[in-house]
Amino acid sequence: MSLWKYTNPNKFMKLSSKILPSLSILSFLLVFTGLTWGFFFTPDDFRQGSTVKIIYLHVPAAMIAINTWFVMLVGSLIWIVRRHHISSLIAKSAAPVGLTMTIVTLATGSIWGKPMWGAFWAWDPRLTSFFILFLFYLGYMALWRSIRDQQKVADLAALLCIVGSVFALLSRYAVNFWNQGLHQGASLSLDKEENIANVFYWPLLVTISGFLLFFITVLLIRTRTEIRLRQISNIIITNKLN
Amino acid sequence: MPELGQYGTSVIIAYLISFVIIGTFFLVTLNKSNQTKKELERLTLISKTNKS
Repeated sequence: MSLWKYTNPNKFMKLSSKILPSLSILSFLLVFTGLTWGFFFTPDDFRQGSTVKIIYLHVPAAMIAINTWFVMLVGSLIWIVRRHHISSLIAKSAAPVGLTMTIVTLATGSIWGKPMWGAFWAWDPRLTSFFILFLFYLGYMALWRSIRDQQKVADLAALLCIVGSVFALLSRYAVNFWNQGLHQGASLSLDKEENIANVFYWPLLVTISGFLLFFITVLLIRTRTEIRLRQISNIIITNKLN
Repeated sequence: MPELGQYGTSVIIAYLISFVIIGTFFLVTLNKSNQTKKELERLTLISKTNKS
């Protein structure tokens, strides 16, 4: 079975309509369970007090914000190489999700930072690269709205996405590159032996899973909307020609 | 409600802001999706009527 068949809009619409209901219910359940578990049933941190509970929003939002850009990158590369319109529409649809999660990350991070660091903001490597990522999301979305020629704008947006990937990478690995700044290292890492304490780790993992499924749900809904908008445009053009 | 201590206000504000941002975004997404679906159905009907 080839996944490329889902670059056909009709097949994509069929598959997505089948999986969306269960995906949305599962994402809601996981987010609700993770947040409830984390907020009500985990202890305070001995240093950070109850502000540690912000981790169940901040970290999942940050992970989605960074990884959304990589989803956009894959979509953009597929568009450049294979010219499947679905891939460029997926990249276009993912951007608002990434922007929203970036805003949530910056907002929760600022609120968390004030009592912990004494400041809402610092020009720390990770915070700065995240802010630049936020600007790239805005620029990417503005680019899509600025040019009517859909092929041309998809090409330009793909190029912007490739350039912006540098900052998405920096946001993730800034603490490793620069040995300075206020922001702590990664709370979760595949290449670390120890992560945060188990009492925080498991509800965080549940919440991250929920946010991931939420991202996929919203991405599918938005991509379906974009496909429909293209179909509307085609109908209008066809009727005008007739 | 757990005892949130001196940082309780910060935690509550963080959660509220996040729910508002994500909730608003999700509702806007659903609304646009529904509107587009209805518009497509309407235009498809008009197009079929014109052809016949």
